[in-house]
Amino acid sequence: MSLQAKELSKAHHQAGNRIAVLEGLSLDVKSGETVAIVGKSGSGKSTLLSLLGGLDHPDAGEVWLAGEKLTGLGETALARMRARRMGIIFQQFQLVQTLTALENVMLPAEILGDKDVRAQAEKLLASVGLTSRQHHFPNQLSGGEQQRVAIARALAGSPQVLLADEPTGNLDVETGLYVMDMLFALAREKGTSLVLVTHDPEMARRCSRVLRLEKGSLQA
Amino acid sequence: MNKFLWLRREWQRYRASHLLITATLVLGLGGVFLIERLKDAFLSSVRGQERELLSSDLSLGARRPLKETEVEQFQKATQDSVLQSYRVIDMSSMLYAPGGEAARLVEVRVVEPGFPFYGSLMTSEGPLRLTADHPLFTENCLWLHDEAARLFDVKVGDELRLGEGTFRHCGTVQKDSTQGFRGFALAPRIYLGRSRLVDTQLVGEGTIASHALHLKLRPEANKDLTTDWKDALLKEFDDPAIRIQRPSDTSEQTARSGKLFGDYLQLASLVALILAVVGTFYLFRTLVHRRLKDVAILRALGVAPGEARQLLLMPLITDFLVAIPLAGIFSAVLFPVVTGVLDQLFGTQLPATGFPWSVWPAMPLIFILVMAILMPSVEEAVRVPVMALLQDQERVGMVPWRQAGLWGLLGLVSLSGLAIWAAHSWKIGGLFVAGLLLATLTLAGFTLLARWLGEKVLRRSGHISGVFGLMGGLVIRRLLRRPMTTLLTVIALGLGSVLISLLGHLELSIGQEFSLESQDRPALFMFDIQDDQTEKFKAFLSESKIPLQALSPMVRGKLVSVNEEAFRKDKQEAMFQTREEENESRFRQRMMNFSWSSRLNPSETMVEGVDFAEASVPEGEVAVSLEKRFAQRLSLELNDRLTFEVLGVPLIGRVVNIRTVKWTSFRPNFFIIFAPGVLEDAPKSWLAAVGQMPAEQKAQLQNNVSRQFPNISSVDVGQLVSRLMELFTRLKKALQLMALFAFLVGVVVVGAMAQDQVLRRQNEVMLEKTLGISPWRVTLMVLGEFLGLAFVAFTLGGLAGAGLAAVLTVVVFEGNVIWSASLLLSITLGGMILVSIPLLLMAKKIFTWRPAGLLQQP
Repeated sequence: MSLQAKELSKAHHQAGNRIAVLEGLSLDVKSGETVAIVGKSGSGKSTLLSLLGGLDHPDAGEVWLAGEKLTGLGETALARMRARRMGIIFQQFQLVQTLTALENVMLPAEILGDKDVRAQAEKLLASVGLTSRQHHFPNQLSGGEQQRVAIARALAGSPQVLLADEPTGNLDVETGLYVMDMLFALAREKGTSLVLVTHDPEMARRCSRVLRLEKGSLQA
Repeated sequence: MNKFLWLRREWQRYRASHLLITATLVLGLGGVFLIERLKDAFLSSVRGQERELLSSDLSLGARRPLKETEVEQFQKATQDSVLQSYRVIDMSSMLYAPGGEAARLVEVRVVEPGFPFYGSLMTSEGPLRLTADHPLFTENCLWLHDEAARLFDVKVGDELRLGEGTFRHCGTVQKDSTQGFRGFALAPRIYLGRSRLVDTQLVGEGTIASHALHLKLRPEANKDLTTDWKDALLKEFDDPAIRIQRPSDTSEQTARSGKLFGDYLQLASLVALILAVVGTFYLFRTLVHRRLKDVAILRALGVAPGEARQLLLMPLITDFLVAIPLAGIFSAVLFPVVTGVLDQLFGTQLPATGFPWSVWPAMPLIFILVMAILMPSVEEAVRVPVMALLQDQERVGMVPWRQAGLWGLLGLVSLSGLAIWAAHSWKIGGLFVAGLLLATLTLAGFTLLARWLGEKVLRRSGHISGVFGLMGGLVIRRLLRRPMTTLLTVIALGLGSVLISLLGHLELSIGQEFSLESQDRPALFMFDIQDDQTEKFKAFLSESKIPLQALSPMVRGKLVSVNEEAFRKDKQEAMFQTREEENESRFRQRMMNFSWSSRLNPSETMVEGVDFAEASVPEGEVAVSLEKRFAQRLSLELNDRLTFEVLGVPLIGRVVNIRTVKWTSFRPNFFIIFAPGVLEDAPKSWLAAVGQMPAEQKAQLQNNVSRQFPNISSVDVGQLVSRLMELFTRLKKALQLMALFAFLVGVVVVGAMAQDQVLRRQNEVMLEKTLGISPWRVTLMVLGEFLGLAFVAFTLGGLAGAGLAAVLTVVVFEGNVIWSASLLLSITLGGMILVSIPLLLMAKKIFTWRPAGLLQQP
């Protein structure tokens, strides 16, 4: 089981100019491996993550997940694939505001049609230390708590890959460290691959591999 | 800080939001302006025709023959200025079709040469010139209004009988400038020369007819003097039976009816305005929330709260000011469309008018209403916790409840002021606001209760996808957990459907009330029966085996004082007079009809006091019964001592009971009924009602009564009812037009809200796609959410309208309540189809938003 990117290219068009973001990028993430992607602002880290998660389509190249080719799949098929195999963590937490913490965590499994989702969600919330906050809405939680809910949600469907985009970007240092400890521990515990986009060298160093994104391609 | 630069930047950056706010205000204000335009046009049309309506410069009239002394006094006061004069008599009578087989009620106008001084009676050959040698005066001729000619199916030359006289139909009047809006009279008009009146033998003692002497003043005479003459003469006569009319008085009655109707239209337009203000509140609040960070930065940089308020309000005030002229243009564009419909309904031709300046008194109230509704949002922004916001925590400031309450109160006061301005009535305006408050509180209560109950159920549920599946579960959570959006949407859509359902159900209930073929309802209502004819009349009916349902005496007189306090009050001229004040003032000037009876008739129910038989009144007084609403209108109560005057003879009455009357029974009914024993000797005429019979027999009876008793007029109750229904339907259609406008404004407001909501939910939509919900299901969820809300709003609104109609039917019309499932269903379905249009336009956007956007946010 691995996440593979082959010869990925992506460009943005701005005021009639083509700005190349990724050019012939390739990446192979093994099962259970943690990979940090670092790079300057605007280097294309988030673009790479969105292509790996099937959130956007590359101009050229292919993405493969567990032997299944994502490139070329329709939106509905991509959505199902994400629900089954991926968890995504965002810098801005991105919780559904009209769902409680517990319901946010239950959501991915319910999308897959699982029946007994509540007990699993409660367990996950307990694992991120939020049992007492499970019936709170996102706007009733602190930033750190919201990100912990987001991590629990990302792990709810037992994904094979976790994609995390600057997960501590909106948190203070202490909370950020606590949240990352939790993320790494849970990923390790579940044997989930982790692709972490970060600016923080300390965070990056905790991954088994660090790749720098420069001029549209990855360098070790 | 350069405020104009700020304003310009604000418009540049949030152009779409400001355009939406301005457009919403234009819709709301446009409705109010449009109705004011219509009222202005109506009044200017009536005022432009007032001299033609009266046909002269001044008239002296009464519903009895004028006394010589009165005529002399009138002529003495005006003699130096008078150029010409003529007399006019108006009365109702039966007219026989050719062959004398069918008789129908007509309004007979008896005129003298020279009529009319102003205006014209237009025929297909041109205007009638009624000189002394005109066939109307020299031959046995009648001129019929085209409606009468159609009713009798006669052509020129056919013979008709009026009273005891036989006449020829000599011509058809197609347009009569002395008649107000056609279609409102209960019988068509015919013209008869005064010199031929004697042939009809119609005018006798006891016949109800209006007699008037009209004057044409010399061109050089000062027309303003007519007001002084009128005041002086009315004081001199001191008789409520006497009416002195200037052209402006003639237009008053027509203008009053038009204004009353216009006021109801204006109330319907106020609903549209309120919906627009709700929409503006929503859009403005959204805009303020988008600007919270800017405000926090400015506050952090040292901008004082007052300045921050100004910066937020300035663009809104600009939007409001821009909306005013645009609403003027909008109403001008709509005006020909609406007058086209009204012209078809009422046969009027309303002239185009300029900007409706009469709306200005309402503008400050509208402005205060808008400000009162929006200020809490401004306060939330100004009181924003600056540091929290700069740390990307979206929070608004708390507005103290007392301040929020004050804004709410100010909004309520301005809304009440607007309603009273629109209705010209404390009562109707107050009821309107109370109804709106009740509807809003009910909807709010329903929303909060649904949220509370829903939340309880959701907490217990093991997962999101309960009975309604995952999509349903998510949609229900959104609806319950965004109560403000839910409530505003329900109100915006619900209020318009309340109006449409109310009017539709009222029509059904009133229609059923009128169309009931009740055995108790008379077939014919007869009047002008002379005192000495009653026995002969009864014998005639008995011989013909016709059931006489009622035969009631009618005596005319006046109420002089109540508990020794003068009843008649001098008319006060005021800048703003409410309808209640106008009505009371008019009532106090009027002659009244009295009757006597020993017991209540089947259409009457005593609600207070005791029967005449059980009542004991002081010596020299007579027991009196009052109709409930009449008593309420004039603040009369049980045990009040009333002094009446009948032909100069004083009568003291004591109120011993109050009764309700079912007016739709069409029996002879009176506001004031005396116990037997005092009115019997007064000059009187009689009213009669005869029971149901086959149509053929009814027509035959009308003809026979007219032949045997030419002075007796009869009204076919069935025809009267259908005429009333026709009038009601026309009025209802015009009101429905306005209700539809309010409904459409609600839909537009919800369209704008939905658009805004969808944009605000872009993240949510992208997140759901990221988490694995397919794009079409995400799109369906957003559509389902708004359509679900629309369903609830239209259904609740429809039910609330039906409920209101039921209350009005029972309380005001005392009829039976009707619920129409098909009407409710059409409101809900029609509304949902309308709401789906803007939603479907947004569906593509929702479908195509790429979830990658979530990762590209700063």
